[in-house]
Amino acid sequence: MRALIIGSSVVARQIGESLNEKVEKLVFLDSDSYKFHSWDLFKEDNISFQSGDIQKMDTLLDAGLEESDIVVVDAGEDAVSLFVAQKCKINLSTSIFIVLDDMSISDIYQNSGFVILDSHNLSSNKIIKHLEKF
Amino acid sequence: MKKNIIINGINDESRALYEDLLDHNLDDVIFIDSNRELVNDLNYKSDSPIAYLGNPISPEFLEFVGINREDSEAIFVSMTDSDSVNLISCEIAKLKFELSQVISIVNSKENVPLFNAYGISELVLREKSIIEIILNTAGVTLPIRLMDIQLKGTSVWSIRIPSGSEIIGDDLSKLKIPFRAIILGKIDSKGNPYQSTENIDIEEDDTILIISSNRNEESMTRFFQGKENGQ
Repeated sequence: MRALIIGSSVVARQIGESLNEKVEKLVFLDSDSYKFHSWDLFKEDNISFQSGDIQKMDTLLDAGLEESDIVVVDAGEDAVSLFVAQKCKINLSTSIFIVLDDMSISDIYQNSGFVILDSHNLSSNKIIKHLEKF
Repeated sequence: MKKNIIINGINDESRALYEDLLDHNLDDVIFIDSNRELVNDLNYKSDSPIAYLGNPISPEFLEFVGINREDSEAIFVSMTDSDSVNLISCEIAKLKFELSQVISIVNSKENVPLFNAYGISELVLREKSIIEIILNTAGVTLPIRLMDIQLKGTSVWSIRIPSGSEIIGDDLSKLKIPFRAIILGKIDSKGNPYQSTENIDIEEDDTILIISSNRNEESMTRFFQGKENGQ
C-alpha cells in the first residue's frame, strides 16, 4: 500500500509517523523541500519527499498520485487543502483525507466522499481503521 | 425577487464590474476580501461601506454579509487571483447556501474541468482572455466568447477571419459548418453588419458571430482557420 501526504505541518508529520509502519511507501509533498529538512522520518527507507506547486496536476502526478491508495491533505489553509483534495480525486479507489481548521464546512465535503479530520482534535484512528480494511 | 450581489475579491476587474453593475441599476452590491488594506481602501473611497473583511470560505462570514438574506436572492461572484479560494467559496455558496447563481473567474486553464466537475459552470477564464487578446492582435485567430447562455454550456462567439482562411470568398448564407452552430451574421472590416441570410462573400478580417456549444471551441478554430471547412 502506498500513501501520499500533501503538506508539512505538525499534523501532517504526526499522521506520517502513525502511518509509517503500516504502508509500504510514504511520500510527502509540499511547495518547498526545506520544510522537510529536519525531519527524522526520512531516515526510513520507505519514506521520501518531493516538492513543487501542489496545486498543479503535474506535481501531484510526479509525487505518485495515480499509484497512491491513500492521500492525506493538510496544506495549511482550508481553501487550498480542499482544492488540492478535489484535484486528487482522479481515481475512485483512492481514499482522500482532508485536515481542516474550520469544521463548519466539513459536511459538504463528507457528502462528496472525502474523510474530514479536525486539525484541533486530530485522530489518526480514522486513517488507521481505514488501512485495516485493505 | 430583489437581487443582491456579493463580489469576492477586490481588484481592478472587480471594481470595473461594480461600476458596470451600477450602470445597469444593480446597486445592491458588496465586496468581501481577506486583505484589510484593500477593504479599508475601497471603503475610504466610497460614500458608504461596501467592503467587508473576512474569510470568504467561512459560512458564518458569508451569512453576515447577506448570502442568505430573506428579502433578496444573492448572486455570488468570485474574482480573486486564487483558484482555490474561487472554487471553494463558490462551492460553499452553491452547496451550503443553495445559491443557483454562482459565477467565478478561473485563473488557470488547467482548473476549468475541476470547476465544471464540481458544478461551478458559470466561468470566465482569465488566463485565456489575455492569451486571446495577444494572439488575436498578433494575427492568430481564436474564437472569443462574448456571452454565456446561462446553464447551457453554450455561448455567443466572435471569430475573425485570418488571411489564410479557406472560407474567404464563400457565400455567408451557404456556409456549411461541420458541427452544430447558428451563424448570426458577419461584421466586415469597416464595421458594417450583415445577416447570415444575405448572399455576401466572406472576406479577410470579417468577424463572424456564431452561437455554439463551448465544447466546439477547437472545431471552430480549425474551421475558420481554413484547415477543415465544410465545403
